[in-house]
Amino acid sequence: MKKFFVIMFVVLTGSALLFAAGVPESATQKEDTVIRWAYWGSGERVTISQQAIELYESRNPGVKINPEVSGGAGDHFVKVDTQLAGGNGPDIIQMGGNIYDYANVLLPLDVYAGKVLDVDVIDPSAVASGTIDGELKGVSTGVTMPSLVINKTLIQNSGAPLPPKSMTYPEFREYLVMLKGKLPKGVYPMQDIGVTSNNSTPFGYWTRYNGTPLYDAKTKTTSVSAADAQKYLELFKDYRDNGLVPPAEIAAGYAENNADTAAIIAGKVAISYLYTNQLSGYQAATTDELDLIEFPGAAATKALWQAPSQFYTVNKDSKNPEETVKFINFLVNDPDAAKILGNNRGASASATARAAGASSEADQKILDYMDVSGPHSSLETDHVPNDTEFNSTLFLIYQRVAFGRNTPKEGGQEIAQLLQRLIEK
Amino acid sequence: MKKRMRQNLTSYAFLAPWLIGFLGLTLYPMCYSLFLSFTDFNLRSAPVWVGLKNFIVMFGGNDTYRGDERFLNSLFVTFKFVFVSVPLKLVFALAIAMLMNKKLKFIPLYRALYYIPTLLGGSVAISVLWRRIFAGDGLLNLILTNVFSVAEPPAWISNPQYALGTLILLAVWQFGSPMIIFLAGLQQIPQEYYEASSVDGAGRIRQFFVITLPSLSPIIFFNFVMQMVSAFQSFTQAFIISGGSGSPLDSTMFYSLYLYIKGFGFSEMGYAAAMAWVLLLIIALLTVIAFKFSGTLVTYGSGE
Repeated sequence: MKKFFVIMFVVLTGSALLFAAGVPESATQKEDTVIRWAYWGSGERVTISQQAIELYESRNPGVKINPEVSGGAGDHFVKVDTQLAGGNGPDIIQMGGNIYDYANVLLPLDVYAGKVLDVDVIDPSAVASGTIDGELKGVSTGVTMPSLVINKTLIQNSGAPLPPKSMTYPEFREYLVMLKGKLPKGVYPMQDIGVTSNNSTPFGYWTRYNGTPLYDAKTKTTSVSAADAQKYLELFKDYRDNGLVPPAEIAAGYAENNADTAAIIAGKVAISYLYTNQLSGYQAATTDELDLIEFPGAAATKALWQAPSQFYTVNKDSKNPEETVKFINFLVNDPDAAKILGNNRGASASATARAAGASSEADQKILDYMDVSGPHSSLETDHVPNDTEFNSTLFLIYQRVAFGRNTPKEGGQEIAQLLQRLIEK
Repeated sequence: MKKRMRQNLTSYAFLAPWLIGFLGLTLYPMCYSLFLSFTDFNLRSAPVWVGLKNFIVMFGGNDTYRGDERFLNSLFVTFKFVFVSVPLKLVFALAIAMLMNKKLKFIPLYRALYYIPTLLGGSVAISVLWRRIFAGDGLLNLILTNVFSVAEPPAWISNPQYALGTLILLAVWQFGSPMIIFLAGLQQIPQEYYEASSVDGAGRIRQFFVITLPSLSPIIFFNFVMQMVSAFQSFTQAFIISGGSGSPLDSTMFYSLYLYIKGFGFSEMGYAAAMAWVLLLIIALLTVIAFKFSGTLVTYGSGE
């Protein structure tokens, strides 16, 4: 019996040690530097990111880049939040407008600037957008702009003329009415943007157009009143009542999370909403030709804006910060990388990358769009605190109106209350 | 004495892998989540103790905190889902099990075929399929318009009136595991009961109500409790079909989906932990109630 117990003890502690030690360590002679790169995206973005990784690895033997890809931003942050909380975060974290929420877990990059990270060739506005409280926390992947995407093929086949890039709201409505007359039954001129989960950006645009921006971080106030929000809801109610956008239950059938769930890719609508950097991904999902036009009224109000599309940020607990920053520098500034990556994460803010030229037809369309819309832009409005919750709840409020459960007046009050609550939270 | 101690140690050594797993991966996270439920925690900075705030917000709020109507709605949606889908599923499972209990050809094949939905039903692929079938231009509506000439059928999954119905249908379709258990139960009922009763002149229907149902009652009860518990925790179907939003109009906002959105979407982990504990209490309470009732409704055989 005693012998048996001794054997058991040896076996158990032995196996525990084995697990603790990790078997393969002794197998490799010299360890590669491994950099974990977490980003979200699908289809085209995954392919070109992998190509960029391979190019970098071939130039830098001994460095291995492990991508950790999530399909959408939502899943990405779920994963990253959990990893960070567990002390096992990736080295490079792709960030969006929520970079401010993460500032305290990110590595300040100022010490690398001018050494492994060439910031001098990056547009000052892009550097500023990644700077929080005087510290450089993120490198902009490029700029992007909100836009309306049109299905050129569908419109041309219907016999209708193509819309001009810039219109006023009355002209835009007239165009939709004309288009409705030409399109086949069951196809609508425009997607009901607000009834999909992707709605705070178009609403944000409209509030700027209306002269009542969503939020001012300095004074911690919103300029949007219940009456303003009501006007927005009434604008789309008018479109809905006249069949210019689909009925709520049709529109809500498309989650609009990506090209796979977009009404415009399904051929259900001729016009929808998109960030410019998404164009090539959407174009890859359809044989119809897509193009970009402006939100109505931008020319007179300069209500559009150029936003940092995303940021490459570094986890402050990264084990190889210098190698990580070097790789980011490659992604952002290297002309060969720029040719591979194109406009997928935004139009590059780096002069050396831009010198590489447009690499695809879709990228050329984005440049054309920005030529027109750049001058119709002004500085970006501050993000409402608790952005995700704003988006999700605005969506619910909008749906209540779209499905006829609430009047635009009630909806407007709810939106104003929501903004107030999120600001005070 | 010494020998017994040594024996105990040996057993603990054998139990060690499980014990370590239980303490580290189950008990500790549970205790930690109980702690978190009394805090505000956004995953990025340390939890802040807020006492009962999360629970107050859930159940209507007070003068300081605004109540959370979306929480109450998710509770309502989940109750509706559970108490419609579970009885329907059990009735369906029992009906199929009784057919399977007949001495027909190819019964093992049918049994396997009818069990397949249960294996697949919780998967993402089936949820995507469901989307395709019940979408506005989905398979069902193609059939309705082309074969039955229905003028304008609703878009089932994106119409707030029907969206939950499609999820209930999906749940009922996964009737396989209660069916197998019912089948085992049916085969336990002694044939003599039926023979004796038919001599006394009892018809099929009478036999069902006085023999089959009472003999099966412990199994019905078991199936009911198991299915209820798992229905309360449904997540995948609603997440995939609504694109993770509980859309339309929060009509498919299951409790666990809202918990997920609160925790990971809005970064309110403390609130999400509190919701998890409330769900645990609800399920525990309902199970206790079910057991209380079982005394009058369930008859256990005297045992042979």
